[in-house]
Amino acid sequence: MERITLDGINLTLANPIELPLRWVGDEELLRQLLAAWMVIDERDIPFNPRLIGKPGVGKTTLAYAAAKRLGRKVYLFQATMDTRPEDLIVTPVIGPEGSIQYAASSLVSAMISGGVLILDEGNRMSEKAWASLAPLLDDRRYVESIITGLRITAHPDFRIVVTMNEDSSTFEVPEYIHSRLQPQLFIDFPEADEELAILKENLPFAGSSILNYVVQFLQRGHASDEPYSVRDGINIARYALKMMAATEKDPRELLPLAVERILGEEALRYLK
Amino acid sequence: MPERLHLENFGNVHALPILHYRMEFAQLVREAYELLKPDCIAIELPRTLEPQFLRAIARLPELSVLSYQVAGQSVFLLVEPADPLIEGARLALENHIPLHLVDIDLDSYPSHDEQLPDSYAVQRIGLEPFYREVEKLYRDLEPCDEDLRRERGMAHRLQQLSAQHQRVLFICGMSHLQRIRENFGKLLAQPLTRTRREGIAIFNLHPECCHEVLAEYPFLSSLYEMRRSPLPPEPAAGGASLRKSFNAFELILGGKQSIPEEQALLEAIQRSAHRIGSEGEMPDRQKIMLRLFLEAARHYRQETGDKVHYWQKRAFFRFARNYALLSQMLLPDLYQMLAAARGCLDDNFAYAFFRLAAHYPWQREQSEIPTMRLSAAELWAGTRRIRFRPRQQVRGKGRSGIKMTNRRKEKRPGDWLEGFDDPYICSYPPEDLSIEEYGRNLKRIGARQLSEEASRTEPFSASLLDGIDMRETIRNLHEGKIYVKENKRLKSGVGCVVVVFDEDREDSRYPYCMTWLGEHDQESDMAFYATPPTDNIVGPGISRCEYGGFLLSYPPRRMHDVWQDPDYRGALGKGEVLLMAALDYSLEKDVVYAAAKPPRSYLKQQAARLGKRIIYLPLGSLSPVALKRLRAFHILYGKDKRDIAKDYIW
Repeated sequence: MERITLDGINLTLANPIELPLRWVGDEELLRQLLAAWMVIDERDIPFNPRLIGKPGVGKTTLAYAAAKRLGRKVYLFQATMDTRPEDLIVTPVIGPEGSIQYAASSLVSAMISGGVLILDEGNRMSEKAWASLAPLLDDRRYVESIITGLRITAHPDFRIVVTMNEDSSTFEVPEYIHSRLQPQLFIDFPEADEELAILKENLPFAGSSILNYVVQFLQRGHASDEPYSVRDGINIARYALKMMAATEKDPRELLPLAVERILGEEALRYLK
Repeated sequence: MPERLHLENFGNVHALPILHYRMEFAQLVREAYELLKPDCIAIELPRTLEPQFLRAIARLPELSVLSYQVAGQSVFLLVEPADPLIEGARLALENHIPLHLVDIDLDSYPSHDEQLPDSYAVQRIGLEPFYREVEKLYRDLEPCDEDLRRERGMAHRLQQLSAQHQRVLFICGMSHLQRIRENFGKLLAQPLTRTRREGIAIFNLHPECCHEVLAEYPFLSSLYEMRRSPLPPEPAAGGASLRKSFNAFELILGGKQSIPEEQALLEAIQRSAHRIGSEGEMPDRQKIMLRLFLEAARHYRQETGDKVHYWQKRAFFRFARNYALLSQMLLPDLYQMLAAARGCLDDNFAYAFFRLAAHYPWQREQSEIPTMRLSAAELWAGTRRIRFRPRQQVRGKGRSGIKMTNRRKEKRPGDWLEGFDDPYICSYPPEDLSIEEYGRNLKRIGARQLSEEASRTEPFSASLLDGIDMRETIRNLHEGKIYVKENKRLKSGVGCVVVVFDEDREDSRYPYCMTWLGEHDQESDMAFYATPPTDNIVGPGISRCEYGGFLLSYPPRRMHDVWQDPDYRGALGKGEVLLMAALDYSLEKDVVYAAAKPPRSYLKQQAARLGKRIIYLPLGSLSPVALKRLRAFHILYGKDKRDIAKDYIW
C-alpha cells in the first residue's frame, strides 16, 4: 500500500481495482460518459455524471469501461446506508503499536492519484455523507477531513461517476447534490442484438441456440416491463449449462428449471 | 467578420464548392446568386432525374422524396430546403434562368466514408480557408473510377454550357471540384452514359418522418425556409400556449376551438426566425440551437409548470458541446442535443425539445401525390437511437428510436372536451399510491431527524450503549477515555404530513382548494390547493394539476372541509391552513412540515398548546426529482377514465 504525507499527516492510500469487465453495450453511452468527463481547457471543470438504470443493466461495467478508456486508475467505493462522511474521506485505524494511523478512502486515493472513482449505489447514502462531498462536486474540488483537519484538493485528472438504481433510494438526494450530479445518463435495457453480444461476452463457451433463447425470453420480459436484466439472463444460461453438464440433458430442456430457480415461477410465462 | 463567400473560377464558370445537405452552403448558394447574377445554374445531379426533380422543387416548401430502383435496391433523393443543390435549382426556377443537371447517371456508385469538418466552421472562418483544407484532404485520396467518369462527364457538360452562356454558376461537391477544373481545360469526348431512367417515382414525405430523414433537423430547415422570403411579423409575446386551458363554461358546453399544437409551434419558429440575426444574414447554427432550447423551455414551462434553472441550461450547453467535440464536430447534432436535454433536464423537457425540433410547419400527410414513410435506417447509415421514458413506468416497453409518439394528441380541436360530461371526479390510483408512499417516507425522515437530535455521547462507564463513538474518542484521546454513543428512538409516532411547494401568498396560482376523504382504509384523507383542473387538459376528461401544497392525515374519513373551517381563519396563506389542520387532526404528537421556509413561531406555540410538535424539513433537503414527480397529479372526470388514463398521463 502506498503511503504519502500531506501537511505532516501520513496517509495510507487504497489500491486501485482491476476487474474483468468489458462494455459490449451501446457505444453512444460510453461516449456520453466520456463527454461528461471531458475538459477543453485547464480552467474548465469536468461534470460529475450519474448513471441511472435498473439493477443489472451494466452501470458499473459502463463506468469501469469508460475509466479504462481514459487509461486511468479505477477506484470503487460501494456506498451503503451506513456510509458516514469519514468513511468517504479519511478513517482512523489503530496501528500495530497502538498508535492512530490514517487510511485514505478509495475516493481520496483517486483524488490524490488522479484516478477515476466509481461511487456505486450512491442513492443509498445519507444526506450527511453527501454533504461532505458537496465541495468536491462543484468548482472547489476539494474535501475536508474533520478527523485530520486536512483539506485535500483533487488532482486535475480526477473524475467521479455515481451509479444509482432507479426507485430504490434509501435516502433522499437533496437538491444541492442533485444539481451537482449532472448529467444523468439513463441506461435502458439493451436491444436484442446488444443483449446477445453481452451474453456471448460473458458466456463465450455457451452455444448460440441457448443464448438466442435466453435473449428472446429477456426481450419478452422487457416488453412487459419486467425488471429482468442481462445479469439474470447470464445466470439463467449459466445454470442451464451447469445442469446440462451434470445431467447430460439438452440445455433448452433445462431452461424452464433455470428460469424458475433464478427468477421464480412467475417468470415462466415469458418462455415460449 | 471574414468574407464568407468564395468561388472557384475557370472560363466563365463560377464554381461554388459545397458540402452536401448543409444549411451554411445553401445560404452560400443564395449569396453567390446575388453576387454573380448568373444566366445559368448547373448542379451536380444526373439529368435523368430532371422531370421528377423539377416537380419536387416546385412543391417546396413541402418536402418530396424521389425514389427509383437500381440493381434491386431502392435509391432515395430527398428534396429539402436547406440543401445547396436544391437551393440552386430553386433559385433557377424562381428567377426563370436555365437549370442544368450536369452529372451522369451511374447504376452503381461506391459509398465513401469521409470524415469532413463541421460546416459550422464556414460561419466563422469563411469558405476559402475551409475549402483549401478540405481540398488538401481530397488530394491525398485516390479517386475511384466512377468518380473519374462522373467528373469527366460534368466537365464536358460545363464546356458546352460555357459556350452557350455568359456566367455559369456551378454548384458542386468539394471532392470533385479540383479535378473538374483540370478536366475543363482538356478536350473531352461525350461520355457514354445512361440517358433515360424508368420508374422514378415522386412521393410526399410523411410529416412524422421528417426528424428522422432530413439531413438538417426540421426546426433548422424551417428557420432557413422562413428566412428565404420576407419574414412574417413576429408573434406577440404570450401568444399561443401548449397548455390546453379552458374555462368552466366551455367545459360544460362541450368545448370551443382550442389552439392547435401546430399553431404554438409555428409561432415559436416565427419568433426564432426573427431573433437569429438580421434579414439576409447567414443563420448562425449556434444561435438556432439556443433559440430551440429557449422555446422548448417556454413550452416545458407552459405544460409542466417547471422552470428551467440557469444551472440546467449551462449543463445542457456544456455537455452538448463536449459530446459534439468527441464526435469531431463543433456543434451537436439533434441526437446529441436530445441526449443532453434528457441528461441535464428531464424526459418532459426532452419531449418538448424534440417536438419543436421535429416540427416542419409546411408538411402535411395529405397531398396531391402519394405519401411515403421513410426511416433513417433506409436512408442514412449509422443511425443512433434514443428513447424517452414516461415519468411513471406505466407504458409498455419498446424502443422507438428517436421517435417520440407516445403522447396522445387530440384528433380534432375540442375532442378531449367531450370526456368532461361526467360530473363525478376521482383521482388516478397509481398517483394515490405514490403520494401515500411518499408521505410514509417523510414520516420516516422526520422520525430519524428527531432521533438524531436526541442522540447523546458520554464517557464509557458501565454500558457500551449503542457503540463506541470513535470520533469523540479520538478527539479526546489525551483524556485516555472511551466515549460511547446512545441513539435515542423517537417515543411517539408522526401523525400528519404537510408539504408546501409554493405558499401562494398572492392567492393567484393555486386557486383550486379541495378536501378529499380516503376511499379505503389504506388511504389517507387529503386536503390540498392546486392549479385549476380546467387549466391543463391532457386527455378526454383528464386534467393535469400541480399541487401548491397538500396535507395527508391518517386514519381516513375524519377530515371536514379544512378550507371552510372557521378555526383556521387566522392563517396567513393556504400553507398555514394546512399546517393548522394537520395539528388539529394529528393523532400523534409530531407533524411533519416540509416547506421552503420554516413555520412562524406563532404556529410552533400553537402546536405546543395542543401538545404537538412540528418537525420542519427544508424543501431543499428533499429530492427534487421525487418532488417533481409528486407535484403533478391528475383529476379524472368519471371512474371510466381510470382505464384509459395511463395512455394520456406523462
